Amino acid sequence: MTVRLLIIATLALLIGVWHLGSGGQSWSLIPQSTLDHYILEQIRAPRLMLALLNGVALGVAGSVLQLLLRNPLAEPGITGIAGGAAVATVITLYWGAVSPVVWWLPFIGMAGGLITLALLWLFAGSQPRGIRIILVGVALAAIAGALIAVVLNLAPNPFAFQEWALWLMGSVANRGWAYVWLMIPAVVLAVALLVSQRRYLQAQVFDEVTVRTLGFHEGRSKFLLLLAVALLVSASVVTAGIIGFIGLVAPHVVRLLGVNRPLPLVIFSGIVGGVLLVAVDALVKSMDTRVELQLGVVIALLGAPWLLVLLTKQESRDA
Amino acid sequence: MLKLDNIAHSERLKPLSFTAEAGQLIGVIGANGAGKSTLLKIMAGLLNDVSGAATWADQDMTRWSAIERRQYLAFIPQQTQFQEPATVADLLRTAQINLRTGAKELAQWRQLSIEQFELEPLLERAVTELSGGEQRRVTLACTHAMNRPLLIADEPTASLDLNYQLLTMDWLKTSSQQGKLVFVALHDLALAAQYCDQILLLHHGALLAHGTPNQVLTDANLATAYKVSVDWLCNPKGVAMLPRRL
Repeated sequence: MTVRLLIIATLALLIGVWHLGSGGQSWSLIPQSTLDHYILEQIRAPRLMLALLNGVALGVAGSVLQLLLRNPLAEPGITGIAGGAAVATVITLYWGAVSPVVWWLPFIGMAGGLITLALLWLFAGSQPRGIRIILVGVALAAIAGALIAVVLNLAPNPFAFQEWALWLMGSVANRGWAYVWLMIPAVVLAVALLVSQRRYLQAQVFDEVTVRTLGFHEGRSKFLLLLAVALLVSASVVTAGIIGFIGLVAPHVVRLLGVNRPLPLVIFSGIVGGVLLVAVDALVKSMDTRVELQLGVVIALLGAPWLLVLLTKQESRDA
Repeated sequence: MLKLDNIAHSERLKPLSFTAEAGQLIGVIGANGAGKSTLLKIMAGLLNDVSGAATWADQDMTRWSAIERRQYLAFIPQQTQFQEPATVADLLRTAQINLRTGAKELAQWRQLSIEQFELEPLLERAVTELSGGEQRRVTLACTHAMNRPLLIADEPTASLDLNYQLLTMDWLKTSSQQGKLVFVALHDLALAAQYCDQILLLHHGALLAHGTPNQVLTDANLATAYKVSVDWLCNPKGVAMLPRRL
């Protein structure tokens, strides 16, 4: 099982690298000119890294949420955190009319995501059960969605509207190394939090009451895990816009491949998420369309049918 | 020593006082909705809106800290659900996740639990594929593997066949004889009569009677609490009952 996933990972990475070299005169990986060097080092390498980090972040966040909230439909969007980060970014773009490359804009987005987490925690109560967090999250996500719609509605001109709408669809194109460096600390911190709460994650094989009686600092554990999710999701939104579906589909793919224990589930969801995003981004790059399709859109277009195929296979196996 | 001093829940339980020494099996009985689960959950610190005091070895039972829970309390809820298809062996290990005892000793406890609940053939099966009764045995074994001194079980025998009902009651009895304090909610009054050292009979959220089985399981009490009259069939091997609706 592990071997199979690692092979998929390597293959997808190779495909990404393949396309990395394909833009120049030859299909080789060895750069031929200064321009090739520049393209490789400044455009394609950071794009690959950013796709990988985003995929890992969303896959991990999705699996942690599904475990923590005990709901197979849970995904990063359901907490409202992605929406919160997006709202903060879009509102800043509206007021400041700055382009999405200003250095402090991502920090505003991160702040938006973390404020949403604070609101989530405030409304969910001190000993929140999974279903309550989901309901509060859905409400916050709805508010965020409405606010984004309002800002788009008030867009000063069609160009701004298009730029913001495309940004919201999610993409890792033309980002540069700065975004990778921005993402890494958030991912590292989130992973540290997850590692510190690994026992609580492992215990999620039991029902909520039994988990309580095992003797955990429940509120603290839940909050730290949600904080990890918020860091991952906010970092993803500010670097790549809203890439939906990865967080939902990656854990299910891992489950359907036969991994069920919490810790392996989280780790492999990260791997599958990363592989999936890199592969789809390679596809997006290689597609010959007038306007480059946005990553988030293509992910949903390909990921959803894939999930259906896997579910059908499982169905026929069970029967 | 466990001490309940006017413990009450705002909606479901009227003030109740009771003390018990360790080393006893204490049955909690009563009709549906009488407050059995509420009382057990209060002692397990799982409910809010609780007034009065409940202490166990000077520990406030309504507010267990994580560390105290790990040391003292095992709680078996009325229903458990397993969503993830973890194996039985995995679950037993996970149940001990917060224990700081040596690995060798923990493995020993697990082995005892596996033997006690006859789980050897099920060890590598996914718990979600097991029958309701088998899942119940897994839950009980997980609690057994934690080996904690205060054991609170809410209808542990529900959904078990006759053999495993007796096996479970034997386990609870042995645990109490080894010095643990065991609370168990039961619907089967014959089991309660045979096994329990003391019985608490609840009625409409209040304590109707408490004492030894002979003191509590009287015709008058059962008529009030369950609206039944009971003929007891006793022989040296055990007790059976014939209930009739009043």
